[in-house]
Amino acid sequence: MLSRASVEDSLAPATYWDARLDATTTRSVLVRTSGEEKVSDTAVLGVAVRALVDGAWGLASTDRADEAALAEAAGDAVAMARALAPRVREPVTLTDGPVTTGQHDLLPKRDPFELEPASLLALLRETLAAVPSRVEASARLGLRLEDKRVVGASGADVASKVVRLSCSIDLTDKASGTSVGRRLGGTGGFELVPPDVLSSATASALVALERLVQAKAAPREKLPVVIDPELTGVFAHEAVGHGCEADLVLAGDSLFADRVGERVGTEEVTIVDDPGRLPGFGAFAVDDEATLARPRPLVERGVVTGFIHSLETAARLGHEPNGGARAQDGQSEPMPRMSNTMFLGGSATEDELWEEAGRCIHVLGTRGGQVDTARGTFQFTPQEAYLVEEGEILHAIRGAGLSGTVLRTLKSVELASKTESLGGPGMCGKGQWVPVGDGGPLVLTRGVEVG
Amino acid sequence: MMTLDALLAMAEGAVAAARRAGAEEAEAFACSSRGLAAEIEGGTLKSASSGVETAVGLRVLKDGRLGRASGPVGPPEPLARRAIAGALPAPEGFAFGEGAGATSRHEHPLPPVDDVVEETHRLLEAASGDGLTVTGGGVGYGTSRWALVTSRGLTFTATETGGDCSVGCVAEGEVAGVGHASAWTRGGRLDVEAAAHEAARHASETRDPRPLTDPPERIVFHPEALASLLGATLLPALSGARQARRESPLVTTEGPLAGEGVRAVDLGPRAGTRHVVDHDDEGTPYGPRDYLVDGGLAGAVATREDAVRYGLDTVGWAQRVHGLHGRGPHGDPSAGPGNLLVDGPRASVEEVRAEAGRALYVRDLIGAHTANATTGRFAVEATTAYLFEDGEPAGPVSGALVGGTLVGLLQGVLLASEPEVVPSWESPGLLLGEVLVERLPVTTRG
Repeated sequence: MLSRASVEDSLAPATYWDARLDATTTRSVLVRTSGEEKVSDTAVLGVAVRALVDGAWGLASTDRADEAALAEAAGDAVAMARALAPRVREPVTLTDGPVTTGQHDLLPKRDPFELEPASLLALLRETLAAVPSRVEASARLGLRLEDKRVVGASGADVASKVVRLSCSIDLTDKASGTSVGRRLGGTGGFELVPPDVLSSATASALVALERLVQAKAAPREKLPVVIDPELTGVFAHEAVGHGCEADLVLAGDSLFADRVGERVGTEEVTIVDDPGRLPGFGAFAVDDEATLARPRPLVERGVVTGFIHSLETAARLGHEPNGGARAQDGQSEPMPRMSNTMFLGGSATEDELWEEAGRCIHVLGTRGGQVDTARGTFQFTPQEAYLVEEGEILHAIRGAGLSGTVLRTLKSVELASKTESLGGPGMCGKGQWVPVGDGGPLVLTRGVEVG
Repeated sequence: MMTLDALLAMAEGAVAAARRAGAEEAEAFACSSRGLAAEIEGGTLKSASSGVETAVGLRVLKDGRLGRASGPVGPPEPLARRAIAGALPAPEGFAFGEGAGATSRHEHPLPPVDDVVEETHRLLEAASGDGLTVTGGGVGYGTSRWALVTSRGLTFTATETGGDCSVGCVAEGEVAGVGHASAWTRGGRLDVEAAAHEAARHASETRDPRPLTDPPERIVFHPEALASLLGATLLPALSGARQARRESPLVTTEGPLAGEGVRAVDLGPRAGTRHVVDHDDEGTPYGPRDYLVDGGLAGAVATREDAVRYGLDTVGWAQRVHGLHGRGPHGDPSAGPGNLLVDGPRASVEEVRAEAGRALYVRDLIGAHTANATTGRFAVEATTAYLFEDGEPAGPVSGALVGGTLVGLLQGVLLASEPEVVPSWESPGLLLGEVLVERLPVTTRG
């Protein structure tokens, strides 16, 4: 298996190197009310060896962890870097890596992989037990064990095991095709989704589906928008978090590039990316370069405060590394990525916020979002949207989508409720897919379009 | 990277292990991939990489129960035990593929790493210029080999090689200009300069866009923009399983599903496209078929399992995840079209634009993946867009929002230019031209 001795001779020409073994095991379980049921197990092994030679990065990956394969990959990484070096305009200088050692696990009290497939199926069947026949429903469970080890040039030798669990419930009204879903889970095991929580999620989704079947077009009037904690989290992730990933900052692909210390939002806006925020789905204790993870304040009371860093981006910007480098698997290179991106609570009680909102549009949940990081425009789609007056739902809004510009939206956040909460699990794609969490408080803004 | 013979032996070993463990039937899919790439970040070449991955996926039938598992190279017995342990009742009539052996070979030598670096350097140089920063991109080539073996006597082996490049630029301005472009090849070398020049041109031309204030009633979609929208809406809608569960707008929408002359058809395996291999990953022969013709639904796609579960045809492109960069045969086969052509009444690009009159030209958009696959409803923002006046470009615009439904989009297609392969390794592959659409609502961000 991976050790310093297995690679360091081949990596002698490198000024910096690291080698990372990633063995990820997953189990997915599906139950549909139509009768379809599936259990599928996967196991993926990869070792990525990275070498910095003459200011250029080379990476080679292998699917075997024996001595010969590791030595070959190490040699290939050096060869890749040497091939690139003559064409590098800005050589990377990185001589000091982390010296972290030890085991850094995030494990639940009970290993969810111990449960037999029959128990998992029974849990999902029970989750859908109350779904009426006019509704097509599915429930999915995903278990994930990430078992990693990183050794590095400066003496780092860390290992980590992280278990994550996700559950989704999706309902479709057969007559109209209207659909709605719920996402639950995080870093941990079944303590995150006890049966009563799953059943409650199904019940809440059924209520939402009934409303959405009766949905009407969005009102033409310009109204304030109240965003629920889950979609606020997606906003924090998409609209702010991506622009604070330091590789995009350095690439000239972020509207936050020259804005550290600048006010970009109201006093109500505080956003932090926190790998230690449990049970967020994006939690980890040590990143894929062996740097201990820590919270990364991105915006504090409306002012940009920092970025998410890899070792390289921290060195290039003269900042401290903050454990933000993540890779999808043992074939990929680590890059600055978010973990659990939280819009922290603000100054208002929920009652105060609803009173201030008056007649408004309330958007809940997420079908995903996307941002143009260079120009700062975004587009999100909620699971549900309602026209609300004096805190009471008047009717659901059909096919609502949210769009806006990041800076205008941050500057128009009028109120945030005092307490934030985590939303559901997510997978973030940036060429590579990694588990992420996010969340926030209720937020009142007039800076987004709903249409 | 494993040879086809070694992959065949690996798959046969997994099937034999499953039989020894008590399975009555088994199917193994062994896949080995090698990739070579170089990346650009922030105006400089960033890294060069190589990788190899081999893995095997196993499905078993035991006592009428179907199980599946996948894993890396290693003894097959644990894999067989895991697959059997998770087996659940199979739909009645389900069976793995049978028939004679076949092979489909489309492998070409990968370029040496120095050539990949040189191409990436040329990509960077060609996209750089006054006030332009290349934010990211890269060049990659890869080869995959795979072997499928079933206990019913079927063996199928295949190889494929391809390459792709992408590049993104920003242009300085009060509001930055943004351009992206990509290129793709199946066996040959990439035209990196063409991609670079297109990205640079869009970045330069879209700096300081004026806010769109008077939305036009027609849209011309660039093939890549339309591909992202159809990928999120049409592709899931063609799933026979989704249609059977009424989770597709193609079965829940009343009336014609598309305008006159609009069709969505699978071309079957074809040189130079995404899918050149003539059998899918369950060993089913792959050929042309119709999905949408004359405004009506003419077909759907299904895996073998979905076909018996929902009473559908088995012909489709059931694919396990394999590709250029070391992905393995994990999870279940999923069904989709192979080479999907979406076409309308044919015209030249010049005729499409002339007919457009005053229109929004959408080169890039964001938000397509947030579409509701069940209803086909979407809301996207055109991030790289131009206004056409009298069929001529009249400057870049910002804040253009496009909302609607898949069926609304298909019903509004007026003209389509000669389709080309959209440069992407996404599966299915799409063939599209520039498409003129009317009656798809465009609004503006206030």
